[in-house]
Amino acid sequence: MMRWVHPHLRALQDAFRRLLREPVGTLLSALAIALVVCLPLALYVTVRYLEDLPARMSVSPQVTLFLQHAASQEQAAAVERRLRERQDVRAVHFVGREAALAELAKKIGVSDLLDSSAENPLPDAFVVQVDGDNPDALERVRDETARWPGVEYVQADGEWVRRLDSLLVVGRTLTVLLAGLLLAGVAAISFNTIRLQILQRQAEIEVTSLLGGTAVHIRRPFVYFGALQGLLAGLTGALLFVAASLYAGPALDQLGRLYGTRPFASLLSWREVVFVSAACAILGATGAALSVRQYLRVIRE
Amino acid sequence: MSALPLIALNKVSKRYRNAQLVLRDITLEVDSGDLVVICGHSGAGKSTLLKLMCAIERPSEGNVVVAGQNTRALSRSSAAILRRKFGIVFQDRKLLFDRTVFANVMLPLEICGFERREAARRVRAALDKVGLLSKEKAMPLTLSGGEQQRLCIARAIVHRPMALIVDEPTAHLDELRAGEIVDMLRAFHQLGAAVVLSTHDAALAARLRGRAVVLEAGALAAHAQPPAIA
Repeated sequence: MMRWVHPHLRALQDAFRRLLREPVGTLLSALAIALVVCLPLALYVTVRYLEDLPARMSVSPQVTLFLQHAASQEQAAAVERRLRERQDVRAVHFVGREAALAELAKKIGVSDLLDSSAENPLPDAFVVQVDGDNPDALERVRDETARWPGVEYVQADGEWVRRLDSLLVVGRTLTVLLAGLLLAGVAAISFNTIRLQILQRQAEIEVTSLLGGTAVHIRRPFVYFGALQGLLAGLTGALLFVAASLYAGPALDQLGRLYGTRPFASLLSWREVVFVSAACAILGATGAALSVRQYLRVIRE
Repeated sequence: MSALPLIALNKVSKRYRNAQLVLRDITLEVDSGDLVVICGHSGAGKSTLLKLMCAIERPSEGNVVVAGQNTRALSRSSAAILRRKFGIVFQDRKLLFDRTVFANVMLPLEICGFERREAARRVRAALDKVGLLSKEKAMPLTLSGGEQQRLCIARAIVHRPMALIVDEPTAHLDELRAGEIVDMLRAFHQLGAAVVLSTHDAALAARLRGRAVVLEAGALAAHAQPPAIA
């Protein structure tokens, strides 16, 4: 058991020593990877921040049917009956033109509006809650009711939610693509760093191989180095991101308060920091392993 | 019933990628405790023969069986593990010049996975045997040629191998230093380990009093038993 552990401990110590021997180089490499990590991280957090928005605003899909001025009470009653008969309608609320005017006067603070002898320009309206989150249902209700007798105009109030939803789908896809590309970049940076180290340690690798070191033995210190470098870079990236969040946080929070969203800075949890760091460590180790493997293949040919 | 030889070569030929035939039809056995001196001029194939014996190279034809394992059938990692049974002294020494004397000798023990304290104890014992204990912290480039060769021997014996494979141990050394190296190899052989070494120096071969194997242009030209020790 200990014979298995010792080579690992030794390789880990060796990797630590090499990291500490060149602190500036180590930091610059870590910083390069950290910046690469920050980009998908920022996109991920932004998309998640926006994902929260519709839920927090308690917006459910709804349409408003504005009746014609000339629509009779019978026509209004028929529209209401037909709405209530629909399976895809959850609730119907009638807003009479007088009530609408009163509401408007209250909102804009002009009480004279009610006393005016001029004709009330507002129409009667039905506010209709559409059942379910399916955007197609909203569209169907809007299109069908627009053709009913007595209906002047139909407005789908939840349209912006749909647009945001579509944008978020694009955002999520971009996040995955960007994360994939840039994380491959992390492995590539590690690959290159280790390649340079291999060139410095060619003699050691050759002698180790001749004296009985297997490929695993030769690879081990490099893989640990790649993993440690990745871990350091992941932590640096996460810290940079947190620092940037703290800097931009107050402005974003002010904006977020208007929409009732949660504080921006709290969006990166410690679990996510651990995940990002671990992912970078694994990618660093993978890049290192590939680099050594390629080198060993070349020298054996 | 006789025991299996430590190293057995059966009709072995070796051809490198440039298609040059380096060794032809070599049949040879090395038993535990043997002292074999491979003699021949430069380019006779001595180094290649030693590399075949310790599984650094594989034969193009024939079989090399080391400690019961046919090296042709071994994977790269199995061949590497098999090499740990040997102590190898290379003609070009292959010392790591960015590591101390101590760290150079530590290398085989690191490869074998020894615990650090035990490894350090063994390194000091090996350095003591070759008279380099006082220079454990020195860098190899600060050592003389003879000292570097002794360092190679320390690195070769530190993990107590079953055999020493030594390629031209006295090349570039004066007579006095060469004599020291020969004495060390003989002392190691007297402890019971097999020693196979190559040399182009006939006087050295005679001095070692081992079984002589003469190579000429890649073929076995002569095979003589050691002279009786007076």
